[in-house]
Amino acid sequence: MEDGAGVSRARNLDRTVHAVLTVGLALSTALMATGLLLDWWRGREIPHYVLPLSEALARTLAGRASGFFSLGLLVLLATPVLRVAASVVAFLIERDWRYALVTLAVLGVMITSVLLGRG
Amino acid sequence: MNAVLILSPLGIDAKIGLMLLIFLIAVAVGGVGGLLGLGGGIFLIPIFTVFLDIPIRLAIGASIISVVATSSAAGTVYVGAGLTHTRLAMVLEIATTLGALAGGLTALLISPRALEGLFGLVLLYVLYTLLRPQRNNWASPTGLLDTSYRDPATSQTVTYGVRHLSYGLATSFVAGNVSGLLGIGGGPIKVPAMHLIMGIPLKAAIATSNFMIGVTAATSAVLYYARGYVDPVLAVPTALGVLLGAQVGSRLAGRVHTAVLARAFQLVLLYLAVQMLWKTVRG
Repeated sequence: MEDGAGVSRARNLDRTVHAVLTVGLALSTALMATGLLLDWWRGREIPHYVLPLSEALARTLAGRASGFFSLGLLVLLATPVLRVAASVVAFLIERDWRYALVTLAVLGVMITSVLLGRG
Repeated sequence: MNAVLILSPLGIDAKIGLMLLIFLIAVAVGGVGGLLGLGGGIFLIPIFTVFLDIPIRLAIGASIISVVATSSAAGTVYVGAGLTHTRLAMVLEIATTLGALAGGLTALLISPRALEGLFGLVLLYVLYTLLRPQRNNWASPTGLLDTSYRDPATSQTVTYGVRHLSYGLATSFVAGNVSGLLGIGGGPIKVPAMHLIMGIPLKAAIATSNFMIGVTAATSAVLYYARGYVDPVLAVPTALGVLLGAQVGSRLAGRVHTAVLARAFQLVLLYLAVQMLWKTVRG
């Protein structure tokens, strides 16, 4: 691998990672902050438990604070998973099979954890 | 009954008050965590359990969420600054996520008291790693994962490669395990190993460790979420507060002498470790 190509590849990967982290964080923060505002306006309904994704989505669409909290937390947790998934795609596009495999292994462990949590 | 309902008897105003208090604590902790590359959980969990009497598993649930937030926030800054060795991070993440998965499963099985005791011991270990001299100047290309970055403090370009990768993988597994078990980032376990043994310059080691922490913490956090140990009343103000604090902290991290700052927080860590162990012994 030539030096110039290596540096520009690393930069592309950094940019992808940066974009995923920034969007995920912004969305998650916005959801949780909206939840707090809704809660203050419309009575205190923050429960002491979190909701599964489908229920969180339904309540968010219904404009309920509890939905915004859970969805915000889920987006926060999904951000690193998406970051790794984006890296897999970035390495595949670059035809860097070795690192595509490395990141795929990491993604596999994360998905295993999601499945074990449900079961 | 479900552990997440323990805080429910609090009245409405007490709930808002608690959320505000947690938010303020989290802002302070997030700032310090971003500066030191400590992730924040190392301070949050003892404060929550010792001073706010929050059950340790709920404290861990809130902390691990905030660790994900801190790492993502610091990651957006560090990656932009080019300090993070992204490829090395991805190799080591295989080990940290496997460790986190095992740790998260273990934490659901062992007693809260055992978790508190373990936490106290890990605090002492973290203190030990901070007290140990952490300087080497032999960073150089090795032919394995060579990379370079521009040091923001000295404006010099540093080129280095990786040594002893297998040792790094083993340490990363342990760090991931502690992270999943106790809800902390595991930076103080990885950073010294990466710096002193793998030959990564300290600033790059901290940035790369921070970068890995988000993926590692998310792996066990999804377990805590699914099993009901994430309480939004605790986790939301913690995450938002830590995010705010970390934005400031991680922006300053490349410019200040973190070693000096770390010294100041060794006393705080010692105090928290003693409190945590005392809580365990007292029962």
